[in-house]
Amino acid sequence: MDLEATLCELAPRLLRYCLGFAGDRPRAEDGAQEALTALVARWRRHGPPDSPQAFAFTVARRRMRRAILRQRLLEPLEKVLSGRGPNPDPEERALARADLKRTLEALHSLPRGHREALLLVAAGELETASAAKVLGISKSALKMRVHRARRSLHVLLEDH
Amino acid sequence: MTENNRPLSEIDSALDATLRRALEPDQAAASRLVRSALTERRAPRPRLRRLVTATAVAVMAVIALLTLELRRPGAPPSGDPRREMPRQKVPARARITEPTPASAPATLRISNEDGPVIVTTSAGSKLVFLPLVFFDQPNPGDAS
Repeated sequence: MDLEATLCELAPRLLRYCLGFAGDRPRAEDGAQEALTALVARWRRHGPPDSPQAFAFTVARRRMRRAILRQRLLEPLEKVLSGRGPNPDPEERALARADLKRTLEALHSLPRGHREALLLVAAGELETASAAKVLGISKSALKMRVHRARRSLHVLLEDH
Repeated sequence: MTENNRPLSEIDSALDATLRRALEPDQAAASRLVRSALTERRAPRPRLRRLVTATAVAVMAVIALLTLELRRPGAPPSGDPRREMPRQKVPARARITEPTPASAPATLRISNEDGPVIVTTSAGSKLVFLPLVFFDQPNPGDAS
């Protein structure tokens, strides 16, 4: 198993997963960066983990949850201090691409457990066993969540 | 199982592909992340911040323990004695409504714990304990 090849293979998957989780690119890149750096540190010190992708996605999930929590706590304060006006910045305009915005809105209307399961399997392209390990649930519970998330997302995206 | 004559597995695959397409990052971002990770450019957590966080947690734990200790029953009151001292109910005085034969042993049978307590002796006499008054422990400063 080659470290660089593993990183190149995981990076886009992690970015997709983190973007679906966080909803904005800077936070997604931070989360993916943290996960890849943690994997590199672990690999170099103790050798490759049993499942590098499960390791990386577990770290990414933990970081993203913390980032979301921090965002919720600090967002009102940041808005007051930054004096953000009504005009969207270039990044917000870029994100306003219809497909991404629509998909993110639909994703964030799903229950959290279903959303995480779907993101791991669909966006992160993890196998069922690895995704179940990341979430700490059984394979059958994961399959059920993914199935329900797909049904709900399918309905939401068709409605738009 | 099908939906609109398409097998569900096909619908699921199409949905997953839609999701991946919508969330697809640009290749430059992915390459940049790999390069940064390989140089292990991880922002080290400042020692000072960790020290401050650990100290704050320890101080809060000590305050919580002290608060629990002060609120423990029997702990010395910190302020108003009326707020600090536990309320104790002193049982009411008994009032015997019927005389009982001195030789008859009493059998205690409590018919109502909350209302008047009725004690029936084996001789058939009844003693009624009326809750005349329940009062707190007298405060040191109050007149009796």
